[in-house]
Order: sequence, then structure tokens, then C-alpha cells
Amino acid sequence: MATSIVTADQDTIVSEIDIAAPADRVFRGICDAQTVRRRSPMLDVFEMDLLVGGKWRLQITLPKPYHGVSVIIHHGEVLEIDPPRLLVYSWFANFHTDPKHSSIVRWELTPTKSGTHVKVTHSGLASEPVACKDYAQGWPGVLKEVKEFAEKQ
Amino acid sequence: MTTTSVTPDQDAVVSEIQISARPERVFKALTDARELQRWFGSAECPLKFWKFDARVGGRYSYETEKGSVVVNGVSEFKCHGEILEFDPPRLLVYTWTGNWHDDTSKLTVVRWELTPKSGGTHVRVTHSGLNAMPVAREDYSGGWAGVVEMLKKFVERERRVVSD
Repeated sequence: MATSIVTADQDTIVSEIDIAAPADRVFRGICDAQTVRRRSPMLDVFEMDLLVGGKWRLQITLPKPYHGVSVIIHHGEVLEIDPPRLLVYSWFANFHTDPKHSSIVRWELTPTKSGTHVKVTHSGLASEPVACKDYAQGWPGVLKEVKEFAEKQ
Repeated sequence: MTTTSVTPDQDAVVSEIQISARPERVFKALTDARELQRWFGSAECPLKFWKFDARVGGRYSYETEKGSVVVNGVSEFKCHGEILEFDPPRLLVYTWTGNWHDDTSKLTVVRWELTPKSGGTHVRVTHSGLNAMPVAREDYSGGWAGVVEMLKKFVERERRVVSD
């Protein structure tokens, strides 16, 4: 199962999981737009231009409003990419207290004997305590989805 | 000496210099707050402090006193970011957000690449994410050349002192 911890300064979430699939397949399930849309059909939009400086965007319509929004929009820019080892992007959210505040999401994939160890680190959340709490519960769900999709392929 | 260029897409400033010191020495000057405090500043922008948590995910920040330089109406400069890549003595990458930027919500990225060359180190710094920030980009296209020259002066001067 996925583990998830919040650092003592309430700034960073670290969530990890082991997946029985090769790193390149897992990597596609994280950032390749077509693969991600198949993985998570409830996403209205998932786009990511896979190069440093490339833009990404995710949009999802909710059955009932969350923090005052009925359509969640996340977006940002790719800061570092080294497939299938590393992907770092900035992360904004329209429901954050400060929608112009940038947090950072970092994906690290490490090959293991049985597949791939995945670690996702979401930092820069000290000024968004409500969102931080939600993300701490949200990331394990994302990792579970990534795992199930990669393993059934 | 120093070469500085702006990429054709107007997104990045690239500055390069050759330094007569080992990559390990140069890397330390880039990542040790006490050393940064000694060289990464100038009479025009006197340093208040440097903090640098040298690890992936670590934060850094620096601030200056009010100096004679003004960019986008700012003369007390504050900069902070997070370390994205830390691979001594070869690679250092961090985000870079300045209070003098045209858009302070945008993360820019600074990448330091050190390569052993001719018994010393070739230093290449690339500051990207500037295409929507013409004022800051203009300032950086002169600024990074000054920074790498201060770095060179600091590391090489110290080397002479040590060998004396």
C-alpha cells in the first residue's frame, strides 16, 4: 500500500509505493497525457508538455463544490525531467487560499528487484494548511491508481 | 573570459566562465551559505544574509540591503527557492523567485553545470523561465556575467592565499 507522511513543518507531503512494473511504464502513467487520461477517465483535461519549461494542466468537475469551486484546475510548468527517473513540476490550484502561490511536485522512480519504487514529494504547502491536509490523503489515492493501472497492463 | 547569451526563444540566460580551481572547490562556493555570504553580493547590492540548505528539497534564500540598483521598482532584493538537483561537484539546480521579477508567482530555474577542464573548471549557469519577464531578463543578461566573475575572483583569490 501507499504510505504518506507530512513533514513536521507542515510544508511537505511524501508519499511512496512499490509497483510491480518497469519504471518507463510507470513514468508514462504519471505524465504521458494519453496514458493518464486512460488511467483516470474522470479527468476532464490532462495535458503536459514534457520538456523543461513545458506547461501542464489538469481539470476535473466535481459532483459538489469543494472550497468554493465546482471545477478543480491544477496547472504549472515542468521544472526538471529525466525519464524515467525524475519529473518535477510547479503546481498551482484554483482552490488554494493564494492561487498564485506555487508549490512543487517531485516524482522519483527507482528500479527495484520486483519493479519500481515511486516517491512523490509535494512541497511548499506551509501557507496552504487546508490543502496540505487534503493532499496528504489525496496522494496515496493517486499512487494506488498509478499502481493498479501499471500492473494490469 | 565570461560569455553570456540569451537563447533565441528569449527564455534563458546562459553565462559561462573558466575557473582555475577544482570543481569540488567551486561547488562548495555555490552551496555553502558562509561562502555565498562572502562573494555573492556587491557594493551596489550589499548582502543582508544567505541561507542554503544543501540537499534536494532544501530551501535557500538571500536578501540584500537597499542598494543603488533598482529593478521593477525594487531596491531591497529578496530571493528564495528550492533545490531540485544536487549532485556534487557536477550539478546544482534550484528554483529562483525574486521579489523584483515582473511576475513574482512564476518559478524560474537556475542550473549550474561544472565540468573539469584544463586543470580547472568550466562553469555554465543557465537561468530559464524568463520569456514572460522582459525586465528581469534584461537585468539577468548582465547580472549573471557579474555573478560568475565574482565567483571566479573569490575562488581563485582564496586559492592564491592558501598556496602562499
